[in-house]
Amino acid sequence: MKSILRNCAFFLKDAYRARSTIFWMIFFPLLFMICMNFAFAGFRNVEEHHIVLGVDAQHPQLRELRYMDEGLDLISLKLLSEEEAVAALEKKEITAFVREDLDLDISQDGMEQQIARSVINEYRQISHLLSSSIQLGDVLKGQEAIENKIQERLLVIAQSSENMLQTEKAELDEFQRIFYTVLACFSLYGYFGASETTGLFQANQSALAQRNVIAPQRKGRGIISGVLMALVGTALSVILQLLLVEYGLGLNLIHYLLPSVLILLMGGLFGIALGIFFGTLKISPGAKTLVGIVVFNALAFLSGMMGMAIPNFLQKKLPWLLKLNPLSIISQGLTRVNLTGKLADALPVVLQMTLFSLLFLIPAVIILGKSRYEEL
Amino acid sequence: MIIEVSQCVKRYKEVLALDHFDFKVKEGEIVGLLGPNGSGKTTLINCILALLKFDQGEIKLFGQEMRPNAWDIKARIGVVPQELALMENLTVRENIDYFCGLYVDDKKRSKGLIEEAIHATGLAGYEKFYPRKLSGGLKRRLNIACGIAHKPELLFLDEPTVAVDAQSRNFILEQVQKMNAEGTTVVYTTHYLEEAQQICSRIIIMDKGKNLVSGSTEELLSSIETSEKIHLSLLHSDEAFREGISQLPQLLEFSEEKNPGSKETHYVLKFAKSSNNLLHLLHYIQEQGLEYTQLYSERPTLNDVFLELTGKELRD
Repeated sequence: MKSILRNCAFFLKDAYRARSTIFWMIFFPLLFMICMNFAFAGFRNVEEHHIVLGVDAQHPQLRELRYMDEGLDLISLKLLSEEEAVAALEKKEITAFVREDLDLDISQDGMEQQIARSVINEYRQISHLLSSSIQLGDVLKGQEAIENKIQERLLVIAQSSENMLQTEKAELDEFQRIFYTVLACFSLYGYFGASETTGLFQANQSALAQRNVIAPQRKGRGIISGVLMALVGTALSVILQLLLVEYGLGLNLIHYLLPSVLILLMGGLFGIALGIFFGTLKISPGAKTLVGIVVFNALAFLSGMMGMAIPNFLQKKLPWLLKLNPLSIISQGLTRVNLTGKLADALPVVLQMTLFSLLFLIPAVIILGKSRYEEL
Repeated sequence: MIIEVSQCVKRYKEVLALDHFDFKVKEGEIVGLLGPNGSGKTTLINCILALLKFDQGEIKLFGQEMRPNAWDIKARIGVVPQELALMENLTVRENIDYFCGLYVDDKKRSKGLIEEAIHATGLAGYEKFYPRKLSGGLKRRLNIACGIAHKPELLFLDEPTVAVDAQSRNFILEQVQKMNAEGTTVVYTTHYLEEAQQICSRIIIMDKGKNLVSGSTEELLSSIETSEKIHLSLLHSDEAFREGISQLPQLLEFSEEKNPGSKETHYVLKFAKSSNNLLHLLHYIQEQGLEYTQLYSERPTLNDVFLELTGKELRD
């Protein structure tokens, strides 16, 4: 154990004194997140909406307005005079005040005010229908028909308002999903440290590796040191990213820390397993780095780092591809646990990531077991 | 015997890198492996160190079969590879500390050994430097320090002075001799025959995977026909001169080289054992009334040994 920790300390020094390591492992993820936040800032700031319409008790169409209050969860009425309305608008106790001519008094123009306007506009159209029905038809029949028409139109209003809100929610969800995908992507970055350290113990890759292999130390101990080094680096990077996301950018994505950290840790272990596998291969360090970058970017793209259009398309046409995409598994896991807060919801991710990791670790162990080569 | 290699055969597909190679090293020797590039020196070392598979034969170190998991044998070996094998982002001291620590568990002892290695390789004052800040010669010294810090019983140096300045080279050679004096057995591969002649107690000349000949420098030089080489530069020479010198007693062969842009012709004459070769030649030159600009005698070198054995020069 002492030798493992000793080696780990040296590997950490060797890795993190390189400026490129510090940049790509620590600073790049943070810069990337800041840029992504700016890029998708418009998708944020959606809150739960509830429209409170102020209306005078003497309003001629109070009855119809009450229909809206009863029919739509979104809308509620507050009876107050025009004078009281001014103060209420100032204090934001009401969204808008409905005048006799159905124009709205507002103190600010935001999403809620827009919804209020569209609702009232829909009602204006209903009022015309109301008039023509009374003139044309039998009073009772006409009245019943009018009532049914009002209900029908109210449903249409509700639907369009709900759609408007759902679109906003979806956009916010998309924003969250994008960031969960970004977090998932960077959790895999232990790959780079693991692949480099593994290469230090494959004698067919460098003179330095030969020197390590000739020394009286088991290869496994050296690899474990490298794994620890990669884990420490990944953990540090993830902690900084979470701090940025929660406190720097104020994104409020991580509602439940423990299951989220567990999922990201599993992502880290998978990245390390992948790194160990590629580290055993006799390809240049530059090629190994390139493989990592290309693979992670491709997986991130398919998981929705640039928007949910691709994963939504894949969900319909090639759902198995999403199930095989480790980044997708991690980001979906993060979405789920941050909704429910249950550690148990992280378990499927743990199992899947363990399986994926073994898929790469087993051949890596077989290759590492080879201690003599046909040629160096 | 510290090293015993018996009938070792190693093939790289079509190429026979080691051809039934036999090789023995006694305790306390400095054995030089001399041969041109591609002769199999590094392949042999890598087979001995259990890095390469070999097709036939047996390799023993310290009387035991050498295997990749022979930790007790590995603990007694030090290696200085031909290529620099350093951690680029660790300082000089940290590099030596890392590699020494792979062999020595005791931290206190390790600390002392590191200091000794730093001073032995002339790296005092450079402890906090990173390898990228060192000159080529100093990097080579660091490479050596990393291989010797733990005071191995058996040390392999694979062409340690390649691309190294003369001062560093001499320093390295001195240190190898010093280590040997302190008890380390050394296997030293090189294609610089002067180095082999200077420090090796025994030399093995290799070519195309074969052990051509083995012995001390004196033994090898005595084993060939040539015992003296005389260099002569003449301002004018002709066919008559060439016919004349070919009649000199004990002359084995001579070669001729004309310097471009110069009237001089340079001859190298090889003579068998005799004490009067130079006298005979000088007498002939004076008889012919020839003007010479250079005339000197030298002993044959290992290159001449290699040339007689293989028909080609040792240096590529």
